[in-house]
Amino acid sequence: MNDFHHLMAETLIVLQFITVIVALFCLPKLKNSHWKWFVFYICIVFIVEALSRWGLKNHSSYRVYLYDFFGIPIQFLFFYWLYANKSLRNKRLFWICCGIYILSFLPYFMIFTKVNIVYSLSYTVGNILLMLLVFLEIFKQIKSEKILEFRTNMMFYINIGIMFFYIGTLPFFSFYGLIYKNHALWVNYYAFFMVANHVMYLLFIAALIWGKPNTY
Amino acid sequence: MGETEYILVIILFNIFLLAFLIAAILFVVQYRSKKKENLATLQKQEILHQQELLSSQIDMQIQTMQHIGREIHDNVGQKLTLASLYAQQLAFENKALNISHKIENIGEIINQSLSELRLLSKSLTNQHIDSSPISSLLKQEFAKIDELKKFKTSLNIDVNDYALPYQTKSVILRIVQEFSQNSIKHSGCQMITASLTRTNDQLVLTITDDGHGFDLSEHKGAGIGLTNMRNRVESLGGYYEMKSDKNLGTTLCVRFDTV
Repeated sequence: MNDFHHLMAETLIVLQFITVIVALFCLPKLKNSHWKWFVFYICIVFIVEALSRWGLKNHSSYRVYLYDFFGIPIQFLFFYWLYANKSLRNKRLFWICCGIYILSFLPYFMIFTKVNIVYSLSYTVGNILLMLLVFLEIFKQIKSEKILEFRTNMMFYINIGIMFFYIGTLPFFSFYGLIYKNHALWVNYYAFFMVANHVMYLLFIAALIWGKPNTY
Repeated sequence: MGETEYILVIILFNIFLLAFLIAAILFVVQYRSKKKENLATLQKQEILHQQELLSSQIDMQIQTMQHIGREIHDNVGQKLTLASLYAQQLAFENKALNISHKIENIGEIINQSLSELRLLSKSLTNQHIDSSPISSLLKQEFAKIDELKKFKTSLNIDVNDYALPYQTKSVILRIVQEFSQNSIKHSGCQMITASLTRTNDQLVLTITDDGHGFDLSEHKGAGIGLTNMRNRVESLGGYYEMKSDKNLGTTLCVRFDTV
């Protein structure tokens, strides 16, 4: 890791903290809609990040478990719920996505010597499902008459943030083993991953500030 | 991970990227077309709103005039009738012989005022424009000009069978009145010509005088009459064009869509 990476890691946690503050500040505006759970989600993600950064600083194996079985699944499951259940109003789609995602963890319990493969598999599957939901959401927005008021649509900002982050990082996590061996590639991809992460949080802040709950 | 899985993920990634680009382009295109649609709807609503405003203004004017007309007839008219009766009674009783002639004069003046007032009241209360076809309204207007015996007139109407809405009829009539008044007062013309024709989807009013004309640029925004005419036409979605050349007279052409 070079200086730039360190700097990005520092700014990211600060940005995540700012997002938490903005989210808590916006909580009164969102408390009567399902968006209040978005505030909780942002807080939980920040707590996980902080825990892995400071709490489990010297326990890297626990860190992997924290991300694999709590940090990343909770993100995917929350977004499945937000997209399928709340935005697209399709409960069955939500349960199907959850089912497929949970099933993608099964190989871990059968071949737990190859942890990395499982990590990549569940991440890839989770990502593909989320991408499908993202595109369904985009087409919903395109077809909607409310496309003219996209500036106040929280899902618009969140959708772009998710798309940018997950499309950008899908090869990074899927090929993590491969990329890790090629140092130059890893350095560049890690920088992109961090930038995408920053952009996503900035878009979350935009959604909280400009978005109006209950409009969509 | 084997090579097949890598290729699979690369393909997937490319599909997502492509879909993302298509979605972004679609979003922009759709946004623009929806915005255009929205703008057109807003403009349509604005025009409709203007028309409603004009029609309600006209309705209010009519109601006010009818109210004034009724007041004149019922209130002032009754009082004048009473005054006339008193005057006649005074003249009949012959109590003041030296001024009986004056009293009779007063009675006569009161009677004249009464009949003029009744005419005025009648013109205010009747639904003249609404109930008459545009041809007869314009004919009456030109007959008034003919009565002056100073000008030649020519009127060509080709829309006898065509039932026009009240607003259009009223605007056409007011424009003809305004134009002919201007021609009579200012243009020094000898002839006023008007024609009202109907093409497939348009109603065309052309009115011309052979006066000395004026420079349109000098009169821009000067006369309230000209501005009023233009506003009235445009408020009904019509097209208004005035041409005037020095010594060649003035022509006004007004077109309304009938579809």
